[in-house]
Amino acid sequence: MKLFSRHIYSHPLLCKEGIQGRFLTPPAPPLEKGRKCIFLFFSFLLACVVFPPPAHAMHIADGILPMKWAAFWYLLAIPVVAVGLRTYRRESERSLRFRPLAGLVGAAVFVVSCMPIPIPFTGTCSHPAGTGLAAILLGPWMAAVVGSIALALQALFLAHGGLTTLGANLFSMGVVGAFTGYGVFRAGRGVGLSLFASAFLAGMISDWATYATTSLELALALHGDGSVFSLFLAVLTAFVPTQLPLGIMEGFVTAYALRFLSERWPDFPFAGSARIESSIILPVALAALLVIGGIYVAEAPVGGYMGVDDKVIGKFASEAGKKPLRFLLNVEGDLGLFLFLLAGAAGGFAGGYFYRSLSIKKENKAGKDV
Amino acid sequence: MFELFSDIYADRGNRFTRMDARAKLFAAAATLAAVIAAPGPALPIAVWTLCVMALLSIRIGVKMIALRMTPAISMAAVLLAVNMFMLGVTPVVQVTIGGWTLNVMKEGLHQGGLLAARVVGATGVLLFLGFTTPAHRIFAALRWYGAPETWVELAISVYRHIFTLIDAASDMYSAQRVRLGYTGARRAVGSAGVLAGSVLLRSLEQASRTHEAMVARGYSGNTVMGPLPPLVKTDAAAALVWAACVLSALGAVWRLGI
Repeated sequence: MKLFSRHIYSHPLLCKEGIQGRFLTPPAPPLEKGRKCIFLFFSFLLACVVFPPPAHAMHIADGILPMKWAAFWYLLAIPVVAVGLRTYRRESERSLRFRPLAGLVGAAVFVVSCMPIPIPFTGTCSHPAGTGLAAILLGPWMAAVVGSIALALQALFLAHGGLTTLGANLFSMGVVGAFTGYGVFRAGRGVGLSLFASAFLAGMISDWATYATTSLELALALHGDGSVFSLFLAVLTAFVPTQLPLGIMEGFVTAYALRFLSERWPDFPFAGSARIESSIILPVALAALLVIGGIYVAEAPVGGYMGVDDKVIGKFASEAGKKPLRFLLNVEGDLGLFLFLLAGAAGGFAGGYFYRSLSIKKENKAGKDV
Repeated sequence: MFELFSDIYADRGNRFTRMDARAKLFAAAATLAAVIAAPGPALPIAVWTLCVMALLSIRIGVKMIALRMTPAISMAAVLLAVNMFMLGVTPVVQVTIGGWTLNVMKEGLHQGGLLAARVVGATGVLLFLGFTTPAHRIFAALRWYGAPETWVELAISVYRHIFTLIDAASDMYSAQRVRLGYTGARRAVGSAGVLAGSVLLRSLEQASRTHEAMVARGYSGNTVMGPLPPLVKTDAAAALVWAACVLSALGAVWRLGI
């Protein structure tokens, strides 16, 4: 079976008879043993970084994340899978057809995610993530469940990813990738883009969002005493040669696949065409807040952050010759700042959510503006 | 693809495949925990060596093991490179590439080396588990450990249908190739998209047929999962002894700092 074999792009000059194996320049003097080892070591590293093998690098392998971070990502991903399983049970009760449908579409997405697609800049083949496609077909919650199964199968039987890092991989692919893909597809359709264009954007951006989240997960876990942001940028840059073109390719594969499906089955009920349930918004907002909180705590300088009172209000007060009074309710340090962030985010969310009711004029029964 | 799924090798009869999946899963979890908590590369490398020796003893090819290790090693290499150039303050080697001077830091090299060793060790554990345990036994073991029944049911369904669809996808892929479907990047992407669409369409048609067949056999919305066989005591004892050994080794390497 050739389906999953790598494409090998040999240089045409090397394949010409008579050229292969001949050296036209005199051989270089031999290197010292120590220098040779260093040269070989760096060549190997450079080859791995610049010309990575088929890019399965999106899955974090076991052993990379420390226990606390592995547990943290599990805690974030499990509720989404739980909601997905509830959706699965509810839909199964509603229609007996749903169980085989979910199983087969899940399997199809797994197969699609194993298909080789060429990466132009590196000359290798890679595979799409498939979460954007799954989210459009089954909805983001079910896509998270299918993603968890696909990742578990890949970890156990293909040695891609891992069991302790399943939560992190699931969060980046099954949660961020699926919700981003779903959201972009919905937004694209909402502003009147064609199915092809919406699916292309959904596939591409969900892939990029997945790898950006993976980079963030790695940076958060491995930054040590350094900055999370600089390590995040470094990891992101290391993945760019494969993941940037791969995202574009995945976009095209998603778009072609959905166009093919819609041509053969014009009334296919894409989950991305359904109405967004309001129950989706709160868990997604909470998950985003938790991630921001995690980054905030990880980025904290030694001794913690200086409070707003000390840094801003205290500065002006001391310039004006005022002495600080005791706090009535003394909530200090990171907790206070986190609560401040939480309150701001909740206020922003409420403002955005109820914006329509503020801006759109209501009409009474007689059709007059109120 | 069929031969790339590790559990095809788990159908062979040998001492490791005959072990109870629950015991193996417990031992694997304990070993993974020890590998991740190891303070130095000694324990992960030792675990990897033992796993590879065990796999070689049941005639898993070196090429297959190397193929499986490739993704993990590539990621470990990226992390090693990033760590040794970015973390730490003590330069050990200076590399000049095209006027750019890069310093390899001692602390980063240590951290990167440790990560790479952990990745290799943990991947060895997963390889051992995957090559010696069929999927249905792993799913049954997960159910025994309390994984949600709906998840297990869906996972079994997905796993079962993967092979049906891969067969169809493989035929379509071959047909596309002989019709020059993958000549050039642009055409390859288009062909891949059509192949993906065809696989999805096939899956939807198959789902409809499967549903009708299930209803004809009395399906009423509940999938009956059979009872699990009793836990084999000798296998459970072996797993406990292994876990105790690994955790003792972890204690020893913590004390020695290796």
